[in-house]
Amino acid sequence: MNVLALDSSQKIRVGLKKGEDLFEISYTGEKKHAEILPVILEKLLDEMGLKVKDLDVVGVGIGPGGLTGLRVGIATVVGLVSPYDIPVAPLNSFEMAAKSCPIDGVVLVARRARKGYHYCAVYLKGEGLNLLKKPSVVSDDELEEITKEFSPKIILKDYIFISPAVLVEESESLFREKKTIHYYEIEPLYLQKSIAELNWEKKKRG
Amino acid sequence: MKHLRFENLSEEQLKRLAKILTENLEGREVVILSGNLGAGKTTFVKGMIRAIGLDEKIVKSPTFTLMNVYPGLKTIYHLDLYRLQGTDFLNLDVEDILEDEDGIMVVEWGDLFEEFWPEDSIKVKIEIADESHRNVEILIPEEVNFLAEKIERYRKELQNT
Repeated sequence: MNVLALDSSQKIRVGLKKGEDLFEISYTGEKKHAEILPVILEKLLDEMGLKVKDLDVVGVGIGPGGLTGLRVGIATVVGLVSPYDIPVAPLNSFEMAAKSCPIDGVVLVARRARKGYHYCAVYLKGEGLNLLKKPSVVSDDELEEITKEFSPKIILKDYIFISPAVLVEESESLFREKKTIHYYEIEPLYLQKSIAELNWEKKKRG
Repeated sequence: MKHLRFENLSEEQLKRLAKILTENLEGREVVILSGNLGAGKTTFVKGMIRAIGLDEKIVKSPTFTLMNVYPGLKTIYHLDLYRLQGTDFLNLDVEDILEDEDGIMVVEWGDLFEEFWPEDSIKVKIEIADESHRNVEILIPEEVNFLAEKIERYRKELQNT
């Protein structure tokens, strides 16, 4: 099975599997997502002797994450798969971060938003991943309360590692479970919108 | 919230005020500019640009571009929401920039979407006094009180001349 999977919610993470061969590539640096991602994909496919149409499934991180990063990632995947309508595996970036952590237990994933706010989710990681608190926007105080309430064993905050191998693995299982979608059905997890709403409510309360 | 009022500033004094304000910002601040057409909102931004070491000629009205980005010693995001329709641009693109730790955002007609901005935003109101003079009121929230001192000092300087 040939699988390409990427997540650009923060850093660029790309995994490519061709049969038994698995390549994992990460990029951290000053260059913008749009400057790097297409270059990596082209070289990697070339190196593996794969054409886009040979791919069985393409996984894509849909957030939560940085808006520009997600846009570049999702648009790139849309461009790649649309001529052949290759099945797309939508990957929740926070879940992928939790799964990438080698230790089991309660995992809290958080990412800084505008001043005073965080994006946050809590999972119980064991055999699989159980959702304890779905990704949402919380104030700094609320994050503290959530941390107390769940007393997580692992806290992944701000610099979040996502393993490309996990992205590939997850894409494969979504494919097997027939949970893939078409490229025109991708819906990013834009939590940004709810911050504006929260802020508005907070102001109304005074 | 501290209110600082400046009366009868010349164009050069207005720009100098903008420069002093900007050079004392640390990053991640929002400056909301309000005032009628022709009041001098874009001129104020030209003054701000001096603080990040760029030529003020690069400042153009973002009325049609929505947002101009000036990458200097710090990055200034210059927005004009006069023609904005719908709120997705605010909720997505602008929200994303509010996550930038080092950037300074200055928003013309930001008062049209008052509820969107962080509570510690700095408000600058410009009124036309006469053809070549402007009155300016700056509202500084508690969070950036250090700024008040610096600007107060400039006001004293003006009074002494």
